Amino acid sequence: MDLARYAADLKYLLPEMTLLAVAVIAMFVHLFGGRPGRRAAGLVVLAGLVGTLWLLLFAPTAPGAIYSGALTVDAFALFVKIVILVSALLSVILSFRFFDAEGYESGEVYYLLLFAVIGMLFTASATDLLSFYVSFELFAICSYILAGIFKKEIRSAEAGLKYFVLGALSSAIMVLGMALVYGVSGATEFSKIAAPALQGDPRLFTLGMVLFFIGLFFKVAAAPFHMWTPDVYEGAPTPLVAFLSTAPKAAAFAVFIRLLVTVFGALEYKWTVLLSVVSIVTMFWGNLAALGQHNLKRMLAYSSIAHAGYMLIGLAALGSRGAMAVLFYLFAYLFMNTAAFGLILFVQKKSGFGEEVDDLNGLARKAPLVSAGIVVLLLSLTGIPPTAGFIGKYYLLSAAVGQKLYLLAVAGALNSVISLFYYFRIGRAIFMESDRPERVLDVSGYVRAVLFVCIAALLYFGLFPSGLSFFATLAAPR
Amino acid sequence: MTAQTAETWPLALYGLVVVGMTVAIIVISAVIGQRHRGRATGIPFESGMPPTGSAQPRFVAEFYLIAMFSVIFDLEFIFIVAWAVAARELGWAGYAEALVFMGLLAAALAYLWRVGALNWGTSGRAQGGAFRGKAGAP
Repeated sequence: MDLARYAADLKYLLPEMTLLAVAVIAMFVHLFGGRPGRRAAGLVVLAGLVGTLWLLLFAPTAPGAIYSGALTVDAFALFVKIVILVSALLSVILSFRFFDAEGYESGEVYYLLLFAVIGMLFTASATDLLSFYVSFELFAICSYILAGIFKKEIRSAEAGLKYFVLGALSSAIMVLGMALVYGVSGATEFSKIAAPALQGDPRLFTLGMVLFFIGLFFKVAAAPFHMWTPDVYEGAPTPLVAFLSTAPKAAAFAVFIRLLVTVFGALEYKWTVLLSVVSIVTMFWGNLAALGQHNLKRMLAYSSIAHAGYMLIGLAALGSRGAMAVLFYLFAYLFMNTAAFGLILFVQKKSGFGEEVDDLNGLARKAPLVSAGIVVLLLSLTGIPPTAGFIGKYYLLSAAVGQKLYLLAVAGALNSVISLFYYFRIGRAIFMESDRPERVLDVSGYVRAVLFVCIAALLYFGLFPSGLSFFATLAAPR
Repeated sequence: MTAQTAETWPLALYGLVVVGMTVAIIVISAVIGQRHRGRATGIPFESGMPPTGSAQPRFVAEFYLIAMFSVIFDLEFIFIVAWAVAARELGWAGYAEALVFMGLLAAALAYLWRVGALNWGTSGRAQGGAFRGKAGAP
């Protein structure tokens, strides 16, 4: 028992421990602080997230696996953790007036979100089947509750239940895959699985890999395991959807990349085909289904499915620069999706549900500055310069071309064109339609601030991508 | 025939027999069984009693809460026992970790108490709900 080393390794987990302490403090502030305490819980969480982000920016990387190979704190993990924390931070700010205005208890949302974040941070670090699964479930269960937090609203309850039942099913399938992988190799540590597994039955190992991937496909909303996405995003509270549509995907993609590099590295010729097919199906399904949507949230849900498909291009082409492209795209996607769901808050109905694309009609007259920002957002979502979405897509497609996956690159480019149609339906509604006379813009400064931060980030990383791509290249595992 | 198939063929046979028997029972009873629509055909079978009342009364479903708390606290108890067995070897560092763990458990208990999850019975939930405002008890 080497307790001294374990205690010394605690310094690498400082961000996670800080968040845990903040979550518990926020819980007590909420529970025993009376009426002001409920508001204060959000502020405590916000301060905690900012502090942790600060810690992460200067966090040391561990020189190898810590805790008997259960975790690792490398540059890759740190990069993904920063993505997750920024997403959580923006969603918390988006939530600030939302839950008060909706007349709902808000305190729980904040610390549940923190527990989910802790799970995701550990997922990004996990290098062992067991530590991965425990942290994966930690954030999965928290996200089911977050999706259904408006339990008196039938649609929110539906969202929570659907997410939970399908999530539990996909987790079960994933555990079966993990069991097969363990059965073939006799090891749970990622780095120790590959060698013995190749001695064993290759069919079982491949089956284990496919089942394992199904659980991850579910989390990143890849076709054909994406069916829950529109229903859950439609029913869940909008500020939380901004979180649920970005951070879990970042965590799941992190594990995906780690698995492809370490555990399943020898099966590359198999998973390249599998991921290419899934990627193409996901992109087409997401974009074509989004074309027919009138509900804004459902449209954006299908758009986020399509974006998961784009990122899968990077996974299929992991060899050369795929991992770096996925990391870059995760960062761009985080700002795009948060801004997109922030936009919904502009047309939020009192009941909180049923935001149609038509509700945006003539928004440009009442909110010209925001509408100008939305143009940048739409350009970025489609993948047109000078935005981060374009650069991200460029890296993804060039990674695919670099691996000679030409079909994949063509499909990705084709899908950008398809997505143009429905993204610019939003633009047309905002600028070309006449205003709704009954519109009252009741949007908090928090939402505006988040929107402008996101759009500024999209422009900045679109015009000056070299800094971010440098760090992404540094973080990408080789 | 490899050694593996030699070992597993009875299992496959058993599966086939199960599926075959189930299909046979359904098909045969559908083909040669008699059909009649009496007064009681559509009524659920209640051991001869005619059913009364609605099938959807509201239960006080506190047992699911108890089950959940037992998962939360009993499972954690396992970890504490595991630590207690090796407490001397683990020393003060282990003791500190166990304290942190138990502190988190206590925080969870405080949460449950405060949101009114421990007030069982019909009136207790209403009292717990007072804290929660519009959102209601858990």
